[in-house]
This record gives sequence, structure tokens and C-alpha cells, in this order.
Amino acid sequence: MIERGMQGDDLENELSKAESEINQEPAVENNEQKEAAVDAQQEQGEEKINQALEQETTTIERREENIEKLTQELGGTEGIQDVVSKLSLEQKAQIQEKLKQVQEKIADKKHLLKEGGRHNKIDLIWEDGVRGMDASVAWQSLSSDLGVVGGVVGVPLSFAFGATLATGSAIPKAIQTISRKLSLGFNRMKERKLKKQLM
Amino acid sequence: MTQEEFEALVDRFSEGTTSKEEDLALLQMLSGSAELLETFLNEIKVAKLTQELTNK
Repeated sequence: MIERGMQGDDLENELSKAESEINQEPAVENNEQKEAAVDAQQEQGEEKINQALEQETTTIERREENIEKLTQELGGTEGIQDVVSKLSLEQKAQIQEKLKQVQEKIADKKHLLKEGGRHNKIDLIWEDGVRGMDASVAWQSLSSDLGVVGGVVGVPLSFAFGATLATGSAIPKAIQTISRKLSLGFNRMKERKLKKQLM
Repeated sequence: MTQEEFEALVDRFSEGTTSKEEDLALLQMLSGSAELLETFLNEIKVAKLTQELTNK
């Protein structure tokens, strides 16, 4: 602290200290502002993720209900098989095109998630998860019927449905398998959410 | 991949996810697969209605 009557080195030292404190103040303020901005961004990001989790959970529940309703309306897997056996080549091509569009939309979703989260594990979850769906026994059997070489690793689901359209006979097994796997995966997620709430 | 292997995979990811982003990735993967199945069934429904109309 500069005091009355201070002279020489003492005064210079105190002046130099005061000067450096003055110079540091805005820097500290800037850092605090930056930290506050980062915190706010993280909070916003967290909120967005929470919203997306809720939204996705509701979407899956709705889709599950719809899948069950549609399967019943169509007369179960046998009814579906009957419709598929009567499809024209043009109708099959239209359905495959529609599935391809959905597949592309899903792939875009993954890219958006990766851009936001920057987690390498997301790739692993997604690709292994989709591979898990694709590489079920039912799909293996379908691909083998079609003479696909090299197994089914990485085969998109749309292709699997395409194969279903082509081979008709495997439909009941394929639909039952994928429905069961979807329910299983989703139920595991719900259990985990409940456990977290209880802890 | 057998049913058991798939169940182990789902368990691993359900228990092993450490962030909300990873939870979301798993949910979106499941949701995407459900969307494909839903689309497939919707298309089959349209085809069935078309077949019924053609037969009348």
C-alpha cells in the first residue's frame, strides 16, 4: 500500500505492485465472464440432452404401441406374410425406396448427435447396436437365403427388410425377432432409469 | 449373433453408458430401428388396402 511520505525504492515497488494489480483486474474479470459463459453453455447443452432423452423415450413408446397395433390390424405375422406374397415388383421397389429414405434420415440423426457430443463411444454404441439388430439369427438366415457373401455385419436394416420382401417366408420370424429385440433394449433402458431415480 | 449374445450386448451398453449422450445414442439407435419396422408395417398396410380395393 502506498503511504504518505514513501520514497525511493519503496515507493517504486508499491507503484509497480499497484500497477500490476490494476492490469490484472480486467483479466480476472474476463476469465470469470468466460467461465460463466462456458457454464451457461454446458447447462444449455445438458438441458437439450435431457429434452432429447425424454422426447426419444416418448417416441419409442409411441412406435412400440403403433407396431403392435399395425401387426394386429394386418392379422399378425401370417397376415403380413400373405400381403407380401401378393406384392408386385413395383410395390416391393416402392417399399424398399421408402425404407432407404428412413435409413438415411436415421444416419443423419447419428451425425448430429456426434457433432454435439463428440463422443467416440457413440459410434461404437450405434454401430454395434445396429449390427446387433441386423446380425440376428433371422437376418442371417435371410441373407443366407439370398446368397449374401461375407455374413451380415453392417448390413443395414433396410436391406434386411428388402430381403424379407424378397423371401416372404421368413417374415414371421424376422418381425418377431426385431420386435423382441426392440422391447428388450428399451426395457433395459427403462430399468436403468428407474435404478438411477432410486439411488 | 445369437439371442444370448445380443442380450449381453444390450446389457453391456445399458450398464456401461457413462454419459447422457451415450444414453441418447442407444435410445436413438433403438428408436431408429423401431421407425424402420413401423415404416415397413405401414407400407404393408397400404399395400393390403390396395390389394383389397383391386379385388373389389
